[in-house]
Amino acid sequence: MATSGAPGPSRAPGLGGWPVLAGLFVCVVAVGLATGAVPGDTLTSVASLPASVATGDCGGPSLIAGSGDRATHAADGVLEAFTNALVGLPGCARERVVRLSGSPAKGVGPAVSVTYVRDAGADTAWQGTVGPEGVLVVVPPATEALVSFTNDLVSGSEDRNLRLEMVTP
Amino acid sequence: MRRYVLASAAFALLVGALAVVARLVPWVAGAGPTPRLVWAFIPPAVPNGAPFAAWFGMDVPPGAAPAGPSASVQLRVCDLEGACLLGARKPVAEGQSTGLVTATRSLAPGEYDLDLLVLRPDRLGGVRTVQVVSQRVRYGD
Repeated sequence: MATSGAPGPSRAPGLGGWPVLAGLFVCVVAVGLATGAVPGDTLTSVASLPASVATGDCGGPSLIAGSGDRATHAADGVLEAFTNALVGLPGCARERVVRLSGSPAKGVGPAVSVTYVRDAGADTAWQGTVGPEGVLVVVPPATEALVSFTNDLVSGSEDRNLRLEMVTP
Repeated sequence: MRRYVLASAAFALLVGALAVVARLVPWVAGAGPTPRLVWAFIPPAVPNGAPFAAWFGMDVPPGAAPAGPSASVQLRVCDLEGACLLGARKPVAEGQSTGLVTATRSLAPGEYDLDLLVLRPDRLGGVRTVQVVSQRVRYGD
């Protein structure tokens, strides 16, 4: 049976546009979900630093996060971090020196990053791994320091710990 | 005439559907209390071989997650050409105040952009970034 060349009944544009409308609808849903366009859920960049937990000027090292043993050594300005830790050294009117040392595990000592925090911002004071002999870090006057220890490890009888000692309190 | 009626009906239907979606999207995303960083600290220097790390203090109010696990955090490490790697997601419990998230990668020494992402689950089983803290870090020597 041959079909005639005569045009058949034309489809209404409203019906012919359904696939387009459906596609538009799907796109709107997808974009909405992908971007998470939820009131109050805007992306925010926060550059704040942790509030110091130290009390008083020229105080000893204070544990901001992590696990340590400050209580038993607080009197002599020594803190030993047994896990990953963020330690704050409060600012002081005079220059101070802190010794960072640590016990290695698998031949690697604690990886430490020391950051100076001033009104003008934060910058790196020292970074590296420390061993039992330790390193001395000078903290300038009116400067708070943050000490970050992030590679804690326990392996058999070895335990990688970080020790902070105020050489000049 | 009929085609215009149909087109008008379709348009009205679309507008109505969009209005419903506008209501539905926040529900799917889990509108409500949102986890918020109180503070964040990304050390600007990472010793060679040590993990990339970000410390944070976070307020996760009850009900911040619509269902299942609560908020989570994740590190994104990008080189200066924009190629990025993602660390593992770390869940943050409701009310938890401080924590550390790390990402260990064998990368060449140099400068990288580190992003701390605060994520929350949605009702579709996905995750949604609600907060970002960025810091350029120097890795290795």
